[in-house]
Amino acid sequence: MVWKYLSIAFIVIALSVGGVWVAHGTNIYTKDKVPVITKDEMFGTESTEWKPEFHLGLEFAGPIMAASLIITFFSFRKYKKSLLK
Amino acid sequence: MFLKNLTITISIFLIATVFVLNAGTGLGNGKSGGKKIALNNKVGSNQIKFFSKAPGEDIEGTANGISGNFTLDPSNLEATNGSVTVEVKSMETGSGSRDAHMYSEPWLNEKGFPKITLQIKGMKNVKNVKYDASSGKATANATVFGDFTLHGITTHMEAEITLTYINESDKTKARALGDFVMVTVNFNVHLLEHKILGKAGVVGDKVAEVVNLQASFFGNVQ
Repeated sequence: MVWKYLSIAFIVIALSVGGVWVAHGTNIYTKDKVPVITKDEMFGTESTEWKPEFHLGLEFAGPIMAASLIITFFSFRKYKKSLLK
Repeated sequence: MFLKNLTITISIFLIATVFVLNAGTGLGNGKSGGKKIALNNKVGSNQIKFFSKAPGEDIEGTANGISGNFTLDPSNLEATNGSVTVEVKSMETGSGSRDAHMYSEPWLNEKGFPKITLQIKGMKNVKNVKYDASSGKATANATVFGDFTLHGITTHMEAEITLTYINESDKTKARALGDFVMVTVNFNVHLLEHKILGKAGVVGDKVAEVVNLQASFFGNVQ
């Protein structure tokens, strides 16, 4: 029975991390800052400043999702085998 | 007597023609003489934005560590010259780990080549000169040319610029003393021309071969 819950838990983790990655803009690299545009009234130009804000990238999301899916796969296999016994 | 007068007239005409042909394009704001301009963040935020559009990823970043000065004659824009230096370490893309890659070899190699320089040698094709006496603001478009050094390799560069010259006023004094000058520049950098090879397969896939730079330089007359 523990394999069933383990596989459910890790598929939820994989889907959650994937969802966060998509919601954060499907970046390859994790971003720790986002651009904020400010306008100079005298010259009419725009400049960019950086504000701290976390956006999960594939560099971290990818390995977490891959590991979670592998654990899910083997847990589910164990669960199926335990049902046959 | 007639021949003498004719010779003098023709000589004066020729001298005047040569003078007019050699004279540069002015901003029409009544200012003249070479003015030394130092880049100053109190005048405006000196910044270069860079854009890489590749099939795998779009990257947008900025560089703020900019210093430099140039000489500009408002009555002869073609004679403009000077230099601008950018600290590689001031470049950022919003991702600390990506920035670390960008500073390293085989990318910009910040330790070996910590500065990017733009040596301005002159201007040409000055056009769209406008002066508004009420605001004391003059603008012009031109092509600036000179040498661009990145990753230790210097290439000839030409770029379209917009020049804005603002006479000193109570409004400008709130930021800094002297007349203000702003130059916006738009040009492309070919990474391979500067031997920025990157990791195998990355340039052209996740990083564009041609990176677009949009610079805004602000300075005041010293």
